[in-house]
Amino acid sequence: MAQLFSPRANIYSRVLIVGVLILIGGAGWATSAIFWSPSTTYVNVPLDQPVPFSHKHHVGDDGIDCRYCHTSVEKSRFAGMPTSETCMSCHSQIFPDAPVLAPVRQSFATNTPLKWNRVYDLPDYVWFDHSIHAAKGIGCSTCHGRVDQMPVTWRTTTLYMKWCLDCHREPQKFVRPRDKVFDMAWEPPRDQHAQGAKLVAAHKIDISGRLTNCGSCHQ
Amino acid sequence: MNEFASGASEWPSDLSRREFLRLSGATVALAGLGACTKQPIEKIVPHAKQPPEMIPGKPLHFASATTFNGYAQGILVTSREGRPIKIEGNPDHPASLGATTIWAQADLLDLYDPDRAKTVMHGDQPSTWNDFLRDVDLALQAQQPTGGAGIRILSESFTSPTLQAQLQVLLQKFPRARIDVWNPIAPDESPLRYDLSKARVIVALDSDFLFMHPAALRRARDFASSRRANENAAMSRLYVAEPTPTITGSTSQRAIFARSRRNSLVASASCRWVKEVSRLPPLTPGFARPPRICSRTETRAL
Repeated sequence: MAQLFSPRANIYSRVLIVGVLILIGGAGWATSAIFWSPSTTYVNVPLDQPVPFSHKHHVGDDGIDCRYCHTSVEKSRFAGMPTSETCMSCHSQIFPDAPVLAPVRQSFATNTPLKWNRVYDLPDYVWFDHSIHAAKGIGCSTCHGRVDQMPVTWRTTTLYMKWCLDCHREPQKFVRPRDKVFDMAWEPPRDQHAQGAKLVAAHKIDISGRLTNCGSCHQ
Repeated sequence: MNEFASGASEWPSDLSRREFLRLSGATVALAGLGACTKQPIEKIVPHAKQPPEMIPGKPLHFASATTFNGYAQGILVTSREGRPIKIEGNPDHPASLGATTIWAQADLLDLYDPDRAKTVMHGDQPSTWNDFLRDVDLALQAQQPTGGAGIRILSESFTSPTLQAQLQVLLQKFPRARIDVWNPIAPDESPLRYDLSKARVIVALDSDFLFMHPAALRRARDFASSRRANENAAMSRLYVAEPTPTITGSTSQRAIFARSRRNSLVASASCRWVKEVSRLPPLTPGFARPPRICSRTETRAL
């Protein structure tokens, strides 16, 4: 009986095996790279806005509290966006003729809303409520980063489910005193683990497992 | 009344079953691919000037009313971001007491009905209110010499004092005009307010007062309270003569079927029944068989 395989078949089979492994690994790597790349997650990608609003100027330089514009952050699931009227309450006096503010003036004069591009956008199948997070001592900067240092606004987190669960599994790592929630400069202390555990108890954060129930967020 | 576009429920004749399966297979495959896309950028559109009572993300509740045969029923409407999404009864309204009819629940769909008029139409053509008023003015002027003998206003029954006053003004100008009021579905019911919670014996002649009635919600509540045996010395009794089966009839001790035009006959007989019934021992929950209020021959006569 003749040989079915020539000596070359050894080479072919090795190349084939290694090649397929590389191909599978490469596909996995490429998928992961796309999944985590800023073009998919929008992390650190500033979006175009009708007005180039600078949190750095308003929060960092002027020291305006978050709640001056995001009025419903403690009352509602939606933090609230400032109305054109809110902008004009200052800008009718300060920079009343600045060209960049023309859309705001026009919006206020014609009573047509500004259309901002949403920077932090959760999928529609996720229920998120700002008020409960603020009430339990999760600070703005934990999720939104140092917006007081952002000349234009960008996303600092992926908003992937893994990221949500990192905190919902171990809230003691991130929770802070209630009076520091709107403090941009707050950093976790060295003994955050011990402090956080105390705050979790004080703020009555339910760590019995309810926070990681599917239904907590996918209602 | 159809919430879907016309023809949406028809099976298109040029689509074979095989073709349909092929397309739905492709749809499923493409739906899987859809998970691979990233989220598109969405917009946030805040008010230019925010209404003071509004908290974005929180629903607002408005007290309002829907009408049944012209009589108002108090409702609470839940509205999210300016869109009404739910109707429930207003607990503070005497005709609702927190409950709604099935029609009030469905009134919400009216708001989103694609067939709802969006603009003034003249025949098939979109028109304007100004054109409408001009045309109506011309038509009314033509009626001036006859005192409005050719004017007929058709309406459902209504209780709005404003509309009443407006129609009075019209009737003063056109004394010979006529207003015709008619309800296509619900029968005319007297708006008299009975307190059913105090009634011991109720005889309903062709009156579906627990369901098809402007005060049905209130009356159902009152009727139920008069039937709570542990709170009352005796439950109230309900006897019904009706031409078709109704909710009220099925709730009664005894319903007999009688044509509406026999109502006077039933009514004259019912006086005697009420007397008889009031002599009966109090009805307790253990009382299984209701008494016959109508003899066999009487029933046949009806």
